[in-house]
Amino acid sequence: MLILSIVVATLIVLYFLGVHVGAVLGIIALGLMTFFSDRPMWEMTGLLAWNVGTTNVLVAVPMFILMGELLLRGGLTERMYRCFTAWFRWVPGGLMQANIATCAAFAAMSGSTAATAATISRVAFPAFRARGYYEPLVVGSLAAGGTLGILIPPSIILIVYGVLAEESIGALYMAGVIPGLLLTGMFMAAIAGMALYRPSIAPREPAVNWGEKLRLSVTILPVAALVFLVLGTIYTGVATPTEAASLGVVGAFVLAAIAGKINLPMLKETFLNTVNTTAMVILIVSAAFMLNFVLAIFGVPQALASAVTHLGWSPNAILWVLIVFYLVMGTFMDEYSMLVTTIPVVLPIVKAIGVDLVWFGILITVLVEVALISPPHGLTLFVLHNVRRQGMAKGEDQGTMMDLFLGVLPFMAVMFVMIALLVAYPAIATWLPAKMRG
Amino acid sequence: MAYLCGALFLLLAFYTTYDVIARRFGGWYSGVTDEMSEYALALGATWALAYTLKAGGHVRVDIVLPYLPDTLRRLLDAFAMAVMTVFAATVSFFLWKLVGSSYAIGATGHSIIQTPQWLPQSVMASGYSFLSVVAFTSFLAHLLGEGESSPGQPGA
Repeated sequence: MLILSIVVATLIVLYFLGVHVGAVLGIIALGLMTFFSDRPMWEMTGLLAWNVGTTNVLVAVPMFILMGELLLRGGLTERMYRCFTAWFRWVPGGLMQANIATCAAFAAMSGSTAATAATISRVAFPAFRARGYYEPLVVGSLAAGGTLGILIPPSIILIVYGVLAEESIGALYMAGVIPGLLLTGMFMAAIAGMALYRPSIAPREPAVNWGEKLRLSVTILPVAALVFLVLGTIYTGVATPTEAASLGVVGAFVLAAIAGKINLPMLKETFLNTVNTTAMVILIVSAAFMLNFVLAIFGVPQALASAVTHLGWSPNAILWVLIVFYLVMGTFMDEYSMLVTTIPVVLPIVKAIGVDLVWFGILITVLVEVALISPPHGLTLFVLHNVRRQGMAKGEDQGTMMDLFLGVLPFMAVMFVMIALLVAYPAIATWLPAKMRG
Repeated sequence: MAYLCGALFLLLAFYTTYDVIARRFGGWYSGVTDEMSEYALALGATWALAYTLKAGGHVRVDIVLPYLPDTLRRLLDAFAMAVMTVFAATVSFFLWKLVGSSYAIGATGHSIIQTPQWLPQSVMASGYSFLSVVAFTSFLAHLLGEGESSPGQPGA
């Protein structure tokens, strides 16, 4: 326990000093090896870096990012947005419903939250302003919708969790489907409810005729087919997640090529974004494994697990403590840092109270989603704020961060309901994977 | 170099797709995509580590940083880079040692092509070495006040 206290204290200090998360985890591991053990463990750093850097499942990370980036820059987001607008505009809340639906659909092709929210808001903002929507809620719906990206497969966060927790990515992806759709539905219901209760926040939009709806739906059929191909091959076991992601990249490349959007600047930007996230993930996961390894040598996970069981609390009480802990941490940390920092410490506890690790992965993901939009440091909020400012003409009212904080509150409330539902009815996440395993 | 890594991932996608389709529907396939993609990741991810550092892509918790006076922030940036340098240099040192022992015992990969392990391992070792060099130069730059200080942007 002494070691754990030292680790936690050092972590907090170094994080607040702004040292990179990967370097913090790594340097603590090295420090423990040096000061607390007379056995030579240093050699392991090379081996662990090598093992993590050649983990097959992690190859899916650059692949899914590449796929999402190609579709994003291939102009497919705009097409989807127009299609969903046609379908959902008559529902109370109008275009805001389309925001959520498009975000959810886009989440099924990419693991990135910020990119999704940014693209859709670029397309959507002018229309909202012209029609007199209540702007904080518009931004809130985009922020909330954007976070669906990490819950609805393919999700990079779930891959990282799967690697750290040694759980099957296929099972995690299946477990994410129902909660993802449920949360989408709840967001849309919440918007409809607010629009009915206070009609001034959103004008009622006329319905679009069926011919138009069908015409627009046809334009997104290829993308839909691609998504079903990628996720279908994972779920049926025809291909590994890595292979399925490769299929997705090729498909996305072809679709973008048909749309005439492939060119050198576009590819360059796509490549840079892809390797940026990949290198970031590899570094923190490698460092996390080094720290895990050292902690395991010192028996910290076992000590922690037995300490928690000796508390004699009910599993639910412990879970709620963890949930609050994540929510607090989420107000100042980003999703990846939270995950790699906490998993080594939290997993032994969770295992000790007999919780299903796939279910817990989904719970953590929803908690991380809250973190992404929780004021004052939600990452998605900053992205949206910048996009909105760029979209405005000089002298126009630019809105403030306060708008954003206000706008996400209802959606955070919906997420809290989702968390409670997940805890009360774990089957929301575990039913589908269990069913598929047979 | 970052462009190269990205292009490599795109190529890998085409290669893997071909192999999966050939495996499913007949035709010649190499059957070593697993190993190939692991090496591609070793190269693509680690050679991009340094670029990502330069581009500010490695995550850090910067809730305090944006509110600090310039000098202090510069010093903290330098400190962050110093920690990164030590970490990256240590990892690369032991990766090079791993390369040495793989070469000495003639370790090979797990599939039929029997790739000598020292080859991809030295690729990864150079990736981490490069990261440590870039981290060290940025450390010096911050210390001398010539580097760009980190702006107030949270996360990746």
